[in-house]
Amino acid sequence: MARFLYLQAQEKKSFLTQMHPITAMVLVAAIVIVVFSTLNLYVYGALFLLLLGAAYFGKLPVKSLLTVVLVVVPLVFFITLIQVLAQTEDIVFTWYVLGRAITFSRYGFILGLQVAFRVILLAMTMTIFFMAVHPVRMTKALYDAGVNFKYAYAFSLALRFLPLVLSDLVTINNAQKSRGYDIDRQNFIIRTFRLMPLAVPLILSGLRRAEIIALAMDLRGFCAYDKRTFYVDVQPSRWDPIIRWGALALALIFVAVAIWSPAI
Amino acid sequence: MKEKYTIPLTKMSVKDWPGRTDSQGLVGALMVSLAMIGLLQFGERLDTLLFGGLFPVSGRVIAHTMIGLGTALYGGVGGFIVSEINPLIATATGTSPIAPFWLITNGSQVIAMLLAGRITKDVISWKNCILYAAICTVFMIVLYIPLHIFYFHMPWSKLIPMYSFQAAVAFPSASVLVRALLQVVKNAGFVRE
Repeated sequence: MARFLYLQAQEKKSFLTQMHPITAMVLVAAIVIVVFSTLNLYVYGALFLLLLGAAYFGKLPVKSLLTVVLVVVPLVFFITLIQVLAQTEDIVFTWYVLGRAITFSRYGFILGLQVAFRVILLAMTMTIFFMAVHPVRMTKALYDAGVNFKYAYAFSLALRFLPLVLSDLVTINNAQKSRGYDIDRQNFIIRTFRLMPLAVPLILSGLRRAEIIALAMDLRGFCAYDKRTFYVDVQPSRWDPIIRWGALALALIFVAVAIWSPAI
Repeated sequence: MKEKYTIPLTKMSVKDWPGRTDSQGLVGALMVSLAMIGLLQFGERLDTLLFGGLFPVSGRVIAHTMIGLGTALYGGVGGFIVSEINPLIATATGTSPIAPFWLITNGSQVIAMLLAGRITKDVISWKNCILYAAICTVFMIVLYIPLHIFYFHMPWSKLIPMYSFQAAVAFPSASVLVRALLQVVKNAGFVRE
């Protein structure tokens, strides 16, 4: 499990880490709209530079951001491969295997690269969002926006307990190994289907723990009062509405231009 | 006469929607969700190795199983907590580029379990588990085709063998695993009135 991205970014305060979470969500939505409305590599290149610049000037760890992009490499490879083999336009090479023609399309290769760029941009956008927005600030912003605190808090709670559950999984795995059941030595094709000896103790211990945690939360008055207090204050600045509406307007204008102009 | 079990299993007097929304429902669903994230580590590695994560098979089996279990135990809201935490964590840790799309696919599995539960009216039964896996399989194909067309620009008609392979593996495996886990949870005493 990778280290949570926001932990790397929080040490340095910047305009990105201090941005109102709802504004950050709107910016992400605007970028997603633009990315989905075109396959133009120039637009993608500009967005790539914009995101890199935002990460650099926002004092986010650019190296970690590029490491996340590496995760996309296997996916990008398969997308491009399938496009090259499946597209029928602009065939540059045909290879006969056992009497069956396998074609290689240049159009498929370019399309594969365009889609790959799209995947990379979306991965970068989401990564920057989670690097910049702290879950506690996010909870507060969602609560202010009218989301029930219980559900707004669920994500923070998940981040809190995930290391505990993963540590349980390691302990259960080691216990099963000592009994002679080593999941790591199972055939990797069927490994998923042999997870029951790990899943059952993990789920049952989790459900038992949930009862204790819920009881402790209730005893401390979790959601006992309608009005909550927070130790973190997240207030939108006067620029936030302008940024939100501006970003959405720009995205919609871009979509309109992309619809009317085939070049984009 | 055979006893019948309805959603949510942890408090059957409550309706399946919204299900349990108290602290225990919230934390219990969260724990099932975190267990799913832990178990998915085994599945996602294989999916990335085989198809770069483009056609998740083992990850899908685990997701079907755990989301079905979570929905059966805690109802609709609990099910959505189980289903939506994983994509958020996967995005926050940068483990998969298509993780945001799972917000939709995982959510559809909650609806599948609620539908199956309403039709069969007995959650811990083979009939329910098979129906659940069948609805999930249909939902997945219906949702993955637009993903492949609009996001990846894939020629989806040429990917039918892949969809068939996914369905052939996920449908029987998820039915058996959901049924087995529901039985285990019942025997462990978590099914209550």
